[in-house]
Amino acid sequence: MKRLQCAACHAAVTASEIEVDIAVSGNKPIGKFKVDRDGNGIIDAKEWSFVQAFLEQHHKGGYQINKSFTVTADVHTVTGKPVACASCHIDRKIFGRARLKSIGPTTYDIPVDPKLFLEEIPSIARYKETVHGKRGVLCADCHVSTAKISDTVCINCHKELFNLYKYSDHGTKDAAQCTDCHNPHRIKSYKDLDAQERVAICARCHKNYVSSHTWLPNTALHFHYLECTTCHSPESQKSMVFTFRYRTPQGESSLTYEEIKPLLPPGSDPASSIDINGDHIVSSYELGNFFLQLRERLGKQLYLDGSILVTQVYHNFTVTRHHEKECTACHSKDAPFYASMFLVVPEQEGQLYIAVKGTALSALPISLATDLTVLGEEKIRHEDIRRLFRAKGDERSAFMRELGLKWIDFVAVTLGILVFCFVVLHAVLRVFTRR
Amino acid sequence: MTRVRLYTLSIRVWHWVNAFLILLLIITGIQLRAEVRIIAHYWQAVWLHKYAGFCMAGSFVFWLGYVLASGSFRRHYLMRARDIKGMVSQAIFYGCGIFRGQKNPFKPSPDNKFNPMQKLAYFTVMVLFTPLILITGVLFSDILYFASYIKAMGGLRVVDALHVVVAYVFLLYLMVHLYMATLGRTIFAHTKAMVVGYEEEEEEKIPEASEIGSERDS
Repeated sequence: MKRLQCAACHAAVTASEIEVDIAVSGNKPIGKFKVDRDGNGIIDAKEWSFVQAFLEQHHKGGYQINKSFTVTADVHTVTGKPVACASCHIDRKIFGRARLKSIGPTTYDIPVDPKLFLEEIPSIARYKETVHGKRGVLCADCHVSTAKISDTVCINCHKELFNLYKYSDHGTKDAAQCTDCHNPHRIKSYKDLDAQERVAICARCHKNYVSSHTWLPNTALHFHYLECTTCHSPESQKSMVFTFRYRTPQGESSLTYEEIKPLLPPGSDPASSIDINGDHIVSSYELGNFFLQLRERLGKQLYLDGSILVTQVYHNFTVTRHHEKECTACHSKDAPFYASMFLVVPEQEGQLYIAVKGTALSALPISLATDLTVLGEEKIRHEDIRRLFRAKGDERSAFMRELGLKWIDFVAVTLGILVFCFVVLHAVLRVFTRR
Repeated sequence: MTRVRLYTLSIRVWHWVNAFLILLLIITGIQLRAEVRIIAHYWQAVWLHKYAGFCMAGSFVFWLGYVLASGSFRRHYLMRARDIKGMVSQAIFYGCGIFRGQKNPFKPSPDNKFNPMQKLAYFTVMVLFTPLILITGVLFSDILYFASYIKAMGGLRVVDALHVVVAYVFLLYLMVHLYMATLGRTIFAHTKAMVVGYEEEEEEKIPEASEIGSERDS
């Protein structure tokens, strides 16, 4: 009520906007690239998290985010009956625009995704699209009284998970109930959330997640590709997950089923169109083939993104790993996520994870995965060289294609050996001719 | 013996600083690329690689400013038409003549320090490869900060591939450069020149008048 004018709900709103000003101590200007990194003129959720990460790192305790919700309304239409909550929180007829006006001494005027400041409320109408709704869980199954749902309700179905969770630090310290992390009214299931959405769940309590990880080089970058549980739940299974994304003037987003479906031949679905031979494993050829088909229709704004996600959750997130700050845990060929790679394919309901052949990343043409490179994956290994010489016929030519950027190492090392031999030969001849 | 002054103090200091930085970058680069443990921790290798790279960028800016301002770039690095012919005779010398005790067809002088093959190598390394590896390296120093530039260059994998290819070029170049440094009057003559600034040359024997006369008679 402090933020809203009465007219926002009780009159016909003709214009509305959320204005954001960030007060920062000091007079150092903050360049536009800090807030609009992709330069598309709009701040999306990802960029907003970078802004917050930047403020936490460089102005910790010395900044304040001020939001003002302004409306212009016709006072002659004032009525006692307020507009529906959905007007702002679902349909966004009101406050459908947000703008960042300033950070400290720097003034901007950049549109921001309004969902960042005005949360979407759970829609009862769309409850059937949630995981619970699809599985036939009824309102009365959980809402046994008017009181807030407690863990005792969740235990009815998720007893096994809870037995593990209750002995973890979160459980024993009564820090978080199931619903604090898992919103049962969300349309997306947990596996459909990307890395940043998952981080955002933890960040609701662990607001200092950036400043407590400054030991991690390129902190914001790591949180772009990783979720907290990648490290803090060692027994969870981590995977490398690829998604189809595209850029629009409004920002970047994942490709939805509705967007892919019209691009496919009639009667086919995305999964069968990608996995041509039906072996339930996507090879680099199949992935590249499908990608190029989509790009023909969608243009160059389509790209393949990747992140490291937990694909099988172990509900103990309390390992701090203070003594394991070893970069090589991930930045090496032995990183656990190389053993399981998935392509996320949007389906009519939710998403399908299809296994990807391990060599896909290095074999992908560089124009496909422009935003993606993982240290450790694109280097040639002994087994690659052994396989290259042992393979025969078609197998060899297929393997040669899969080597992709690993050819750089192969060619360079071969050239190095040749140059070394030449130098040694030249030196030996000089010795023999006493020059 | 005559002393031919070839390298100023500034260039000698720059050369050895640059050599140290390149060595550090190669060592740390190998650890980053080949997963060989040379430095105790991976993060230390990353840190050293990053800041040695920044220092090399600074060193390159100094070199560029110096050679442009002093006119050295025009005099010593720019290829001329006659250098193409000179390159052939220089290659024949390195590949054949050197074993027969023939004289190096090129004699360095303060106005023309590098033979045509050196010119080609140094020009390519300093004008093409060094800027390329520095630009890609700086882009990698903060992927988020430079996101729009990385996208404009074709994405992370293109930038990574370019950086690695040029790094290998540097490694191959270094192997040849170190060996060629031993091809002076003595094995360490060129290296010594880069420390003291001058190279010692044997004085050309000027034929005496009586010798010329006898040659004419014969």
